[in-house]
Amino acid sequence: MKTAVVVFPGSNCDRDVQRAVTETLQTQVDMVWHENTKFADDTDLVILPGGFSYGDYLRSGAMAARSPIMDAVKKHAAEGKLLLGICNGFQTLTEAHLLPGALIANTSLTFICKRSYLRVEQTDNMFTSSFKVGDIVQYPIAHHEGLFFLPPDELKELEDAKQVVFRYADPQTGDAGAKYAPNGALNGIAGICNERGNILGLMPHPERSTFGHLNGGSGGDKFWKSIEKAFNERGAL
Amino acid sequence: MGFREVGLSESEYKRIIEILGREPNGLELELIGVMWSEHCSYKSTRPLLKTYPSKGKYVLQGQGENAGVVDMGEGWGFAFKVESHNHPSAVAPFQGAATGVGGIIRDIIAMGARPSVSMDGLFFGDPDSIKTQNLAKGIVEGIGAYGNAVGVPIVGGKTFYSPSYNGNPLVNAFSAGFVRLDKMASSQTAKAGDLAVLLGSKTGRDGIAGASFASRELDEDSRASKPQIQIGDPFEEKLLIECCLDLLEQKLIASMQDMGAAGILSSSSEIAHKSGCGIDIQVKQIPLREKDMLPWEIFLSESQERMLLIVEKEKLDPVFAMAKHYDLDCAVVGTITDNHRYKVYNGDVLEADIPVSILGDTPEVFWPSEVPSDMPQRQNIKLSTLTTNDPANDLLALIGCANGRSKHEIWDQYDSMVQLHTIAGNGEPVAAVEVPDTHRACLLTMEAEPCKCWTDPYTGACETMALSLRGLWLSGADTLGMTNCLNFASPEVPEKFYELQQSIRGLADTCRELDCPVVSGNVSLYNETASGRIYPTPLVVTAGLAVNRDDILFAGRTQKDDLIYLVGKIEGSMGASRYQSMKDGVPLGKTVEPDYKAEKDFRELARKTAHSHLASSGRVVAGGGIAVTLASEAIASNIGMDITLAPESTVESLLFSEGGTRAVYSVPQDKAAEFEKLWSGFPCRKIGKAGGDMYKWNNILEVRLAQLKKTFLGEAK
Amino acid sequence: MLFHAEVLITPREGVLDTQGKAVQKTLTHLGYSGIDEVRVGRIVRMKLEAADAASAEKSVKSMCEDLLANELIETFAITVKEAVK
Repeated sequence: MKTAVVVFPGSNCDRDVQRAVTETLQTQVDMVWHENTKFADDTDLVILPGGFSYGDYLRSGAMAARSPIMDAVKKHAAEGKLLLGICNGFQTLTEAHLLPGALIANTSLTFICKRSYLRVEQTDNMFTSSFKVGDIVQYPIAHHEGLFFLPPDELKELEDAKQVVFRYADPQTGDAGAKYAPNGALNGIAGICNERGNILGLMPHPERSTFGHLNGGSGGDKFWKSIEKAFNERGAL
Repeated sequence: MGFREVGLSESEYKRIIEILGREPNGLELELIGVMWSEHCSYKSTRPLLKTYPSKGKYVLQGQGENAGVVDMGEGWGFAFKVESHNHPSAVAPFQGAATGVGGIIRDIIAMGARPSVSMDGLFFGDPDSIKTQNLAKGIVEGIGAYGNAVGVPIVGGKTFYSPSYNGNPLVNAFSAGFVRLDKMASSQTAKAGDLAVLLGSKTGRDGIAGASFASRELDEDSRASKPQIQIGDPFEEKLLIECCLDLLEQKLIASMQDMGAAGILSSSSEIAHKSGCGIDIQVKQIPLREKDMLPWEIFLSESQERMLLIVEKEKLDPVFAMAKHYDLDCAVVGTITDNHRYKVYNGDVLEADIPVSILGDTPEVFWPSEVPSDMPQRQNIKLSTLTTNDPANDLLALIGCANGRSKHEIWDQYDSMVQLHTIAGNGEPVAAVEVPDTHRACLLTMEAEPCKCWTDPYTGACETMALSLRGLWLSGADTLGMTNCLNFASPEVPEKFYELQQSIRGLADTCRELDCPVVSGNVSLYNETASGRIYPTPLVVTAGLAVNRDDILFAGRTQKDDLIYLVGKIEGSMGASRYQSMKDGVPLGKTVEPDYKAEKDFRELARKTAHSHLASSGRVVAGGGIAVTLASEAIASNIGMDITLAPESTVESLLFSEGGTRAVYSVPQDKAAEFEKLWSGFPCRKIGKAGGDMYKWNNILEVRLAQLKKTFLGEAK
Repeated sequence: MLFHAEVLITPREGVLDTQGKAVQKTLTHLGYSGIDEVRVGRIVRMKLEAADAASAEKSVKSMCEDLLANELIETFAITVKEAVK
């Protein structure tokens, strides 16, 4: 599975996600500067990394969503290939209308960095097919704008269409929902996919729990292996 | 403009005339005045700082560069430094703290290193005052906003509250980075014919004369000084980091220097002076953000996110191409010469022409020193006032007070994980980060003991330094070196100069005795307002090397049924302890005298303990004494403890006395014999066992672990 | 002709305005009573060349839709004035 990580000015998790994917999957990961207008032809997975693209000025992800590489990102996704946005990458995907919703300021109005627990809500997509619905995973969060928002009707549509992939949860009881969201996200939504299941955006950082000896904890490696397995079995959608 | 307005004394002005052989013109006077200010010249402390030991087996670059560098092995260096941003943070908490973080990060870039880790020492006033809370909120948000965006993890720090910081909070920003030894940069390698290139933000009127601002006491109405405050842009800084590292990777930079205090002036004169050259600067070539700026404003501007690069002529094109790639402003502003002159041109007009050495070789000042007249009172501890009638309650009060409780509300606002190399971060007594692409780790401790330095600057500083080393040794690390930030009041007051002098002597002696070179540092004086002066606050950050990260012994890993051991003396001193300060309302009494023999023995045995994996967890006895240290261990490990140690003198001394070479270990039962054997030549006793959900101490106290936790997390009330 | 344009961007009705809520709470805490609803937005000011006010406004509206506002969560109001020479 050939992977490309887009580097926007102000991205700061680009090298982290590169390391997580490279070391977990023993695969090649290209770093693609935002001014480029295309990816290598055989790119299978594109990752928009975390960080503060364009300083997060105006709105998080707003200017990244309008940068030169984004046409190629849209084309890549339209071909059914895999597209993953983490944190600032998720914000960028919503700003680019590749995923519904918006990420607005945490209810605390502060930046929050801590481990977070998520319940896997959906496995019929290219990213979580190795998990079971109800599994609890731990990927840390680190953001100031992570409150997932959609107007009520559209939120219901999203839920009905089973596009919610990760929801903040209590690791002890396995309960998930709004009251476990550290950021106030509606319905406790931490990550969603598109209808087709080839685009995923999530606020937590699976790369930060990929190496168990680090302070982000462990378990993230399974996420990357799940993507690779789905890709090997199904290819592009 | 007179010499007094630029902060010079009459004798200094006379000396300038002597050196120049004439009167300086207005611009020259401004330039010299700023470079001779306390903030830029360290004129009051330079003679004292020379007493620091500077050599060590790991030292690659000692004091005198933008940051010190130590050898981590396998081709990696570690550049580190701590710097104050106290005055700006007092006036504009958010921006002051943010630009403090940005400034120290540029010092690390200037060594060619990728900024990899940050820590912050914060000293706030009375925790119950609204003013303190607002200042603290702004400062913490500013640090977070900058550090998080620029992508350098904040892995630890120190937060301390005392009314002595009312209106004069301290913000000490530490940053460090890893650098390949063959890619190290320097500010001493410019040569005649090279070009001076300004990279990064345009120059505006921000922070003009900030350097001389920091060399004065804060006015009661410091609002009037607000226009001087700089605004930080972490986005620009992130681009600057990537651009500089790419330029170094391609060997396009001959020399470089960050722009901090006194901006273009200090960076260009330092590079020229240290390289043994001269420099011609063309004012008209400097990209400006505001119109009609005067030359002195341009030279003193402290606009953020700028670097001065020295580039060989033939490498100019690729440097400009790289700047364009990152969308950064870039301009040739001068030429390195061989005439040892600092010349400023405004078009064809030569506006200043002075020897570079007058800016680089600044004068020293020797202030009179006098033992504070109230020192006997400061040291007069009345043990009778300290009796504990309710040890459990006193323990909870120490754990729940502003200085004792968890600082998670602060550190949750900091990204501690970005760059994916933090092994141990906030909340751990020792921070640890991976050395890139190796199995090695760098360990860091930050310590300050203002109360102990107040009651006795010398032993207080000794204890501060030793405490920072004990943490590293307990973890199994070898000592790499130390950086320090010296926060004091006006040196012009003999009693305050005494505090400064004795604190430095304490740090120097302890570093010399315990083989810890001092590689970098910063001095911040005049920390006082009309209402008071701060406690003497030397803050140290000490770095250690773990050759194998699997051999690090951490705290908070106590397992059920582990035996608890105390190594070192049972009791320390009640002097200026957290307990004593709580009971009396002010710190009184001296802490323990240094015992270097004990420290060295501990160094050897503690490191062996870690490397032989004889303990599951360990923790140095620190603030709040053994009782608080063990309670912290119980909370962090989520396990109860049953302690049986009896007092030597009094219960309060057993539980809460501080200082000295002491640590607690949690040892698995099957390792106990080997552990005891290793420590046989050192005071070592089994004091209890881990397990259950109670924190018990003989007939002395009994608290539920859940209550300890709630109190520590500030959820008790 | 040169125009001054000002765009006032505010959170859309029904969108949780965390900042507005916090500001309202603090104002109430400070003793200001009877505050109904506080909304915190932002202002973008610019100078631009256009043939007339209408086309200036049209251009700014397009900028809002393209970048300046996220219409899922924000609304915007534009005012355009001819720059005084």
